[in-house]
Amino acid sequence: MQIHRRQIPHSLMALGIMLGLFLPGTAKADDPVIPIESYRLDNGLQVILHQDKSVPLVAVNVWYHVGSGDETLGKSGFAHLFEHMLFQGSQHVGKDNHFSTLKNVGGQEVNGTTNTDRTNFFEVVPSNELETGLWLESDRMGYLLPMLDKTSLDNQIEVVRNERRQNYDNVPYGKTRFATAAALYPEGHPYRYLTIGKHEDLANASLDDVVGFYNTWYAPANATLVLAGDFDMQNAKDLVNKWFGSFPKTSQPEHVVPAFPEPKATRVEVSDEFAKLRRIDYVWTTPAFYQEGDAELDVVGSVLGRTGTGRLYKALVHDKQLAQSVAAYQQSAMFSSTFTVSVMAKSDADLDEIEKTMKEEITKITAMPITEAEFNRSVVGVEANFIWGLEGLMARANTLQGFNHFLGNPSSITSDLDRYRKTSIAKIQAVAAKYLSPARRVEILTLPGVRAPILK
Amino acid sequence: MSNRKILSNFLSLSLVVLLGACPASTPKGGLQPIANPVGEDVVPNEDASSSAPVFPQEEFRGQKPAAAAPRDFNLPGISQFKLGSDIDVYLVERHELPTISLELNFDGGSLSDRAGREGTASHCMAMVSQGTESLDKLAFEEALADIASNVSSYAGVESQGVSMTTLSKNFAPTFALFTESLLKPGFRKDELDRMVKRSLESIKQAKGSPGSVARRVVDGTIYGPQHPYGTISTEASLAKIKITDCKAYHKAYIKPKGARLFIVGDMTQEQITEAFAPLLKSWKGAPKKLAKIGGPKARKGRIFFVDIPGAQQSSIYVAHPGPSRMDPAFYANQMMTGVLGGGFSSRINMNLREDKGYSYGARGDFNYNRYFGTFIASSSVRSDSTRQSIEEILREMTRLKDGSDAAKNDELAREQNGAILGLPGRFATASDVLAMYRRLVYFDLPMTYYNDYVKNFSAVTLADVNAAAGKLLQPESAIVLVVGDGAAPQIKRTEDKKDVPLEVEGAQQTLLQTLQALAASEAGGKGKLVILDADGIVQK
Repeated sequence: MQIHRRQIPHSLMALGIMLGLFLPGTAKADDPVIPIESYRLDNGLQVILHQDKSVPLVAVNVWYHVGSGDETLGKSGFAHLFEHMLFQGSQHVGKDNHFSTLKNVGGQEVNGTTNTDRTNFFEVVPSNELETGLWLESDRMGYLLPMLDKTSLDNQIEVVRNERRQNYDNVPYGKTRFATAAALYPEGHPYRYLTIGKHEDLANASLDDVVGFYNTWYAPANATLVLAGDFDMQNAKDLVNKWFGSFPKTSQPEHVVPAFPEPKATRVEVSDEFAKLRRIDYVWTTPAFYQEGDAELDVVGSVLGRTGTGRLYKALVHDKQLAQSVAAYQQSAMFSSTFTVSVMAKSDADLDEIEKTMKEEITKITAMPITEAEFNRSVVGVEANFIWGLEGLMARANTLQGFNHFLGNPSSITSDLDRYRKTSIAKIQAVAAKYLSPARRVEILTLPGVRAPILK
Repeated sequence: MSNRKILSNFLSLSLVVLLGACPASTPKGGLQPIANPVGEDVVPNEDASSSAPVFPQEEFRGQKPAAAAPRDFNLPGISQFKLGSDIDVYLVERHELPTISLELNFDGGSLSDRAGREGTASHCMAMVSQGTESLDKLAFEEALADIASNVSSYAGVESQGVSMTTLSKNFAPTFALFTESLLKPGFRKDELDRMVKRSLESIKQAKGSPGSVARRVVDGTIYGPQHPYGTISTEASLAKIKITDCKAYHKAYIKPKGARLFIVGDMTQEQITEAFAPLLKSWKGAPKKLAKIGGPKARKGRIFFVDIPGAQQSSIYVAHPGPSRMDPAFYANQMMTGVLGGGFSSRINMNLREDKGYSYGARGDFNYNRYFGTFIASSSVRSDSTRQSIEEILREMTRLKDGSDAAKNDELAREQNGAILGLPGRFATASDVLAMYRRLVYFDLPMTYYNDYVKNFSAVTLADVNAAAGKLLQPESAIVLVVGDGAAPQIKRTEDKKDVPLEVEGAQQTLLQTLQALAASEAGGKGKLVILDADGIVQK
């Protein structure tokens, strides 16, 4: 029910683990393993089972391989609006029964999220109610349309527009996010209006749009079901087969990959009536998730922006005290990513001086190698974040899904970590030099806006 | 020296017995989940797209599958022991992951801030992890980053702590940094200056948008601006904090006597005892006594308003005093607010979100601290629906309270099943387990508390829930805080469920006008509209 916005160390998103089993041996073999069985039903639905009997719970997690990156012109925000519709009711479950059904069986962590790349739906249920989770997920995969009506679509259009108001329109720097995307992506590129979309497009969404989107993208062959937790393997397979096995054979729809965005170097000013401090963002388009250069830019982000140790943090927040905060991060997505350096200026700070320092530090990282200590610190941080993310069943389910979605192999922990461990200081510099040039830079300056006079 | 108690031995509890077989009416038993009447009157639409893949119509899909036999759930325990005679340790020992997280927790916090110096405790405690005597802030941060560890510190209102997280292999160097922070913080004047300057900018930013302004003024409105739970830091109060205050604060409050160590992960009692032994040789004494916290005293007035021109949504809060956590009717009270506003399916959310489309989400429930409880309902609503949303929340409270729409069996069953069958999920991870016991420590409840959890929630009857509503909900005297655009034109909901402009004698009403009318409509002298600024200062 929410937009899932990637956090900064994105590729560190919570990972699963084989409880208690760290393989002995070399450093690399110490990587945690999430044991799985993976297979496809005849109709194309992919199934991944991860058994962990330590607590009588099962995480049920479905990823549909469609996100706002698959939207077309005039339909911005639709993938996420559609996600909301999948909570409204389906033929056998009935209207508005999803949440109450799950609460009645002790279900928790019930939600769904949409981002540019995928849409997911999930719940944790007591192990003896696994079948109820499968009933709910299979019903909305196969039987949404009989319960679809205009009233519930109109209602969810309003709810999603309220979500946009709450998280974008009514908060500082919300406008900045739209202005940045508009500067980076041309009209027609699916990232241009963010996953939340334009009010106008949301308001115009129709029942036909829902039907078309459902039939195209919510086919069994375009979905992956993960069960993580306490179940008997054969019983779980039988139940999956009972609820999903008779679904029709479908094929996986093709994604239309947009051209890699090469925005012109530009500077945009945004007036923001909710912001009280100026913020300057430098943004570049960068390699897609897991592509060559993606991991290196994670390291660059850490070297520049990490609180306490980052070069820009030390220079601007600590030494010169010109900045309230700094951030530098690679935000990875399926078609292309962005790298952002963002500095919030103190009220009395000289913005020119801030930008001069930003440019100097960015130039330095493209012109000179980072230190061994900086490199090691980044890698150690990546590895530790992996391990800290291994605790919960749902985190493990989403990890398996993420690797499967992006890399085609749910068991990719070591190969993902190796992207950081096996790169080099020289390569990091080369990637920074290639992508973080002034000629490719989009600059967004957010200024506190003027308000209407206070009411009498 | 330490008398370890492995509570799990006698906490062990099988939900099989409690949840498996007994019908809901059996007084001592758990509940059979009550099925929703789903799928009975669904008529498939005729016009589903003909090109679409055809999904089979199969009879078994028509109803919720029956639950399988419940699996055993052994309530995870927690180890309790003492370090010396001073520190109570609560350990959730788990070796599956090579991680350790601990917090040394103390009584104390902003409760001790003197009037006019609000922010002293929070800044002084934050300073504890901004470098040590031997390492300045940047050197301290680098030392931690090199081993991917973390040391931090904080103060709340009456609870504060110093904590660390580390991978097991880096426990020793991280614990050394933790210990140095704890006992020999750097307390450098230039670091305090940096921190205060950043806080001043944060305050400025917080005055900019409806949500952050609401968060800034809500506690002072509900608890009273002078109450420990209601005070806020201001530019003036932060300017008065001196590094000598921080040194004195540390000396007064960071003492082992009565401290609690919460620890989860890859550690044994022996390892903990050994690690802390050197520290405890030199670190002695008891903290300064804290003042008692009295009950809240809400601001005088009934409707409170902060104007944020251009706001797209209003932040609204409806609040009044609530029962204490120790109320014998706690379980019924929880079920009652569960029905009213506790989750997605609750009345307030279903009304404002799923029926009216005014909000992205709305809730209402009791908040508890050690001393008292409070009822707070809140939402962020589309600006033009602000007045109608307040009315809907108050109406939901009234209808549940006066019994005109009393709680129903299916609502209570839903909430009871959610509490009882959801119990294993609340103990899903080691961190969850620690959090569940830490809550008991905070409220001074017995560590065997969860043994009776199922029994206590199962015993709640519909009559209990409706009695709790009648006794505890106070829609007639609740205060209402609104942060939004006073000029926003308002709608009203008609009997035939349409939203139309709200007009009085042909004139479209603004939010401010409707709040004035709402305040004036209340009987009994409390009906006052109070305008606040973003610091919670009364404007007129």
